[in-house]
Amino acid sequence: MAIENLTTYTKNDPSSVVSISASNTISVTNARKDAAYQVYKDKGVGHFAGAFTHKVSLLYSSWGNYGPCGFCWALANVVVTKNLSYEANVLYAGGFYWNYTNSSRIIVGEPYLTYDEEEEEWNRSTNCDWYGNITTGVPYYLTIERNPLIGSNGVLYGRVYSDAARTVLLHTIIVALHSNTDYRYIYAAEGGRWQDLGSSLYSMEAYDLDVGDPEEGASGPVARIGPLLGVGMVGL
Amino acid sequence: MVYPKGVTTPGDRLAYCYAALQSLMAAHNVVGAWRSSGSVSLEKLSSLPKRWQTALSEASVKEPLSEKAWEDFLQNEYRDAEAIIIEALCNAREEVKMDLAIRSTVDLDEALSEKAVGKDGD
Repeated sequence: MAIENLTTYTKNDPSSVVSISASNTISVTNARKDAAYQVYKDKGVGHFAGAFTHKVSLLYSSWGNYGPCGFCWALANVVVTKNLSYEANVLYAGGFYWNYTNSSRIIVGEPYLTYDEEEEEWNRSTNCDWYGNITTGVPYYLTIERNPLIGSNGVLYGRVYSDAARTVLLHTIIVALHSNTDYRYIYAAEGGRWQDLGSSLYSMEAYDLDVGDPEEGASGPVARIGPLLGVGMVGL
Repeated sequence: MVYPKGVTTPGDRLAYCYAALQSLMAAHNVVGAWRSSGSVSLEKLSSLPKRWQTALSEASVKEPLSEKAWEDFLQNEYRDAEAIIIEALCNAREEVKMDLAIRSTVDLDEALSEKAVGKDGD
């Protein structure tokens, strides 16, 4: 449908690492892994229901060491000030640096709760899948689709393409969902962990988010033809 | 999903589903290259699933696949095929996870002997 106008989104950025550098582009620059930030919009209760297809593009210029590197897309029914991935019934996509194998990944996940009958308590688990060994300075084009007709609660696909026209498919990430939840909030960027992971920094750009809604005055897609065109990127 | 003879265990089915997904991706990219580069060889066209060939039979192989034909292909033939494979893959993945025969072969000391397992970073 139309690229989202990110200037209409709410930004919470106490660490001052996020800039909405164009109506269609969010830049996260030299963010610590524990730097919490959110760029989100309230689309109304149950706005994202049933089947949907969303598109977003993602470019990392640095990963830092260890752990999540910020999400470029998420759906939720809550507004958080820290660590959306610790909530239940959330869907997210973003980058993850896996230091045990020195590989960087695009990850799609669904945190969910399971009930431990012995301990009589709820535990959080994360259901996720990924595309590995992505490269800094190279844009990746994601299509995230929920197909509610497969399995008990549907499946979330994360198709990863190497071109903006989405003609070259690199991988399909597959997450069999634990709930078929209707969502209210779209997050165009989200970062931060509870743990202090030190001064490991990452930079990324998330742009051209399309959630299938009508146009509301955003600019059109911006062509990225290589790493030198990353806006506001500072390598480490 | 119809499995060939010899694909009998949960592990076999899961491996077959991943292989099918890789084949599907390669076939997708043949059509994608037709859309973006402007032509497709008859050899590559004949490598596509028969249903796809039928659906795309009215397009010229010497011209770029039209936007409408490309979108129709993605919304119908590709999406249908993808759903068949992914549903089977999800089922096979669950089968493998619940397979007690495989689980009984696991020796954690042996499995963990090479290097420490990293904690989940999530």
